[in-house]
Amino acid sequence: MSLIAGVDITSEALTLQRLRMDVIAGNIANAHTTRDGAGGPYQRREVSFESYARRAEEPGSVNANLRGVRLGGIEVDATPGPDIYNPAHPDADDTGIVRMPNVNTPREMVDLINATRAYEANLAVFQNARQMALRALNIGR
Amino acid sequence: MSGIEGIGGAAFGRHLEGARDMMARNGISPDIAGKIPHAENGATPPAARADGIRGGRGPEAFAGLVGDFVRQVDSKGKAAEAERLKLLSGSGTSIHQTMIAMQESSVAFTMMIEVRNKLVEAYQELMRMQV
Repeated sequence: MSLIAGVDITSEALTLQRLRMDVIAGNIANAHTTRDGAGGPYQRREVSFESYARRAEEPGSVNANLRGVRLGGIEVDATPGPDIYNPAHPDADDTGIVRMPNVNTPREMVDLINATRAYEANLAVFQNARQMALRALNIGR
Repeated sequence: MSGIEGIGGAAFGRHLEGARDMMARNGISPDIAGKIPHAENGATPPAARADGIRGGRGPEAFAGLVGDFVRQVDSKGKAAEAERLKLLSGSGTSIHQTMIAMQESSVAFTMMIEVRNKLVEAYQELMRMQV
């Protein structure tokens, strides 16, 4: 049992935003990777979250609406990336075309900013919850 | 109840009741919360009231209560330390979990100080009584 409100939920959310950051980092790092081990170029990964009832009780009760967040999955985005004509490239096929990853760097940067802001928002929740607990301890002083 | 002892006991009981509620509501071990003497029927000397005090008699219940509380707060501190070591050795925890564990431990410690203050205040009020 924790003294600070919502600490389990916030901790889960912070972990997930970090994971999202890892996925984005992987996408940006592999933005020009033409060999993916699966025979083609790197395909960007997308992360999805799902909410779940933190207290496993019957659906009608109020506690079913107390939702935490967990990882829904990390999926591969299968849309094909651009094809570049570059016969000198080691991974060019017979016609000199190289298939590039479908990573759009500006879009990844926007996701990066979103993940950072979400992380900071969850930190703010924790700071405020902690302040509430400390102020409560001042009652009667 | 009548008598100086009755008045003192009731005041004492009120303070202890408050401390017990504070701990029980925060989920700090309801079982030690139950160990705080429950001033249900005013006051009689602790030795003669073994049935009124749950879990112990007079001074033993008190020492047990404080000891258990300290142990609980210490366990939160140990959890924080364990998280810190896990972080520094790079195994599976993240920095925000460590910081959150440290903050929990710090708030638990502050709460323990406040409970101590309340108990000391109860004691002082009792001692201030003119005989």
